[in-house]
Amino acid sequence: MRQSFLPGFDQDVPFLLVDVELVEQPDLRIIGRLMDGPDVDLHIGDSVQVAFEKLSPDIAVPGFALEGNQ
Amino acid sequence: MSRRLAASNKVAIVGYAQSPIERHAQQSLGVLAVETARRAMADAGLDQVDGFVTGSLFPTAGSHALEDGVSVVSANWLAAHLGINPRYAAGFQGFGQIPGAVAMAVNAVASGAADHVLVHRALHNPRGSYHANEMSEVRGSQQWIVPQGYFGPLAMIALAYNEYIQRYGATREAMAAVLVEARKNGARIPWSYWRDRPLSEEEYLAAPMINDPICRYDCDIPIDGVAAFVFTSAERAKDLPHAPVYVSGYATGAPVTPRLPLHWPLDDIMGVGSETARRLWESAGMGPADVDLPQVYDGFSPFVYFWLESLGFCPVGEAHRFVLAGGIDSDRPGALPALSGGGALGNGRMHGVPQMLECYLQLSRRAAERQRHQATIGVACHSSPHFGGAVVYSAEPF
Repeated sequence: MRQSFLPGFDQDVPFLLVDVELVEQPDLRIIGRLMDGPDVDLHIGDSVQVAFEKLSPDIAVPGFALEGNQ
Repeated sequence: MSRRLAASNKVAIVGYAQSPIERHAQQSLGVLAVETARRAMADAGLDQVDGFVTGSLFPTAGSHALEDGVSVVSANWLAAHLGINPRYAAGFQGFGQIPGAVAMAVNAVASGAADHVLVHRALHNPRGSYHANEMSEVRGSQQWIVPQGYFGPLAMIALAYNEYIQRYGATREAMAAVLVEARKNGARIPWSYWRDRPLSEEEYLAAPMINDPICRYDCDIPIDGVAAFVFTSAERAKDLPHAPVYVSGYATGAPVTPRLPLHWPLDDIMGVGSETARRLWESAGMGPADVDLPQVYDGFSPFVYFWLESLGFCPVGEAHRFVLAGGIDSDRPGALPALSGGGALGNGRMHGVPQMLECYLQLSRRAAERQRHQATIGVACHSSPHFGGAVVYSAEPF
């Protein structure tokens, strides 16, 4: 994402979103930010683990990190 | 039991009007709609109609006001402002507003709910950013995508296009061929926003990404514009001035897989899309080999691939090679002229109108210097194969 249509993301672009299918529940797919950054070499089928982006002491948004990189 | 549409070829388009397509029209959208509807009725040789149908969706993710007659134009608003108290007025509320509205018009005429139905589509370009949204709180299902920054239709289509590229090895050069083709044809159309303004491959390839792999040229440009079409029975059409164009069949996409908002994975698009196509061919009593004027939807350029493949005009995963080899070049004999009407990329954000209008103009032999004399069967697509739909048109009843 090099441009966001939402407020509050100007400091974050560019960022990379991934579409993740849960091992625990195939067909359930959720979207989150890849915490490894926007420049990683990424392929369909790569494994990720859940990670959290801390927005404030009280708020964290779930994202992902490449397996082995978290 | 035949699943052929019982009303197949019994209802026809008998007239139309298309407003100029401009970034910002001088008149309000409502005035433009009234003027365009009057022109369409006159074109059909009628003083008035007794049915109105539209799909009035304002396709923005932004926080723009919905106001009938200003940013949208409903069927009831248009009828009232034409001074008509119609027997039938209705709106299609799903995606694929054009095939959805055409299906409702056909059903209304075939059932006798109305004798002459006007289908219109009014699209507005608000001041400021089309999709920008100043929301500071988010509730409901959007809470699972907005905090992550997944928002707006560019992100939606970028995800599916990324899957396509990784799976099938599609190149930007292939998509450049789509854009060059759409804008070449749009440049030849008098009412197009892109009239006389083709796009070169170099210009396309030089454009920066917005949401990779989507650049600005992959998106149709927001505009003000209105189109209207008049439908009546094949019987009544015989007494009207223009050659009728018959509706042979239609289908809309469903059932869709439950997903997060704006989450359209490629497998959903193509999986449900194959069901949309199956129902379309069954409804019309034919298959893709019978079609010589497919008009694929292209509000975002990757939809061109998805429709070509869903409808069976080329194998799944091959559309990018097909277009790169000149497969949809409208000037090449033997090619499938899938964007000969310029589409949304070559006209502006008229949603499924350019596809429908090209089918009507070519099959009624009203396309003037762009006339394709051999065209007999057209397909007009709109939106995604899994959320939208398509209509089969024929120059002759069969």
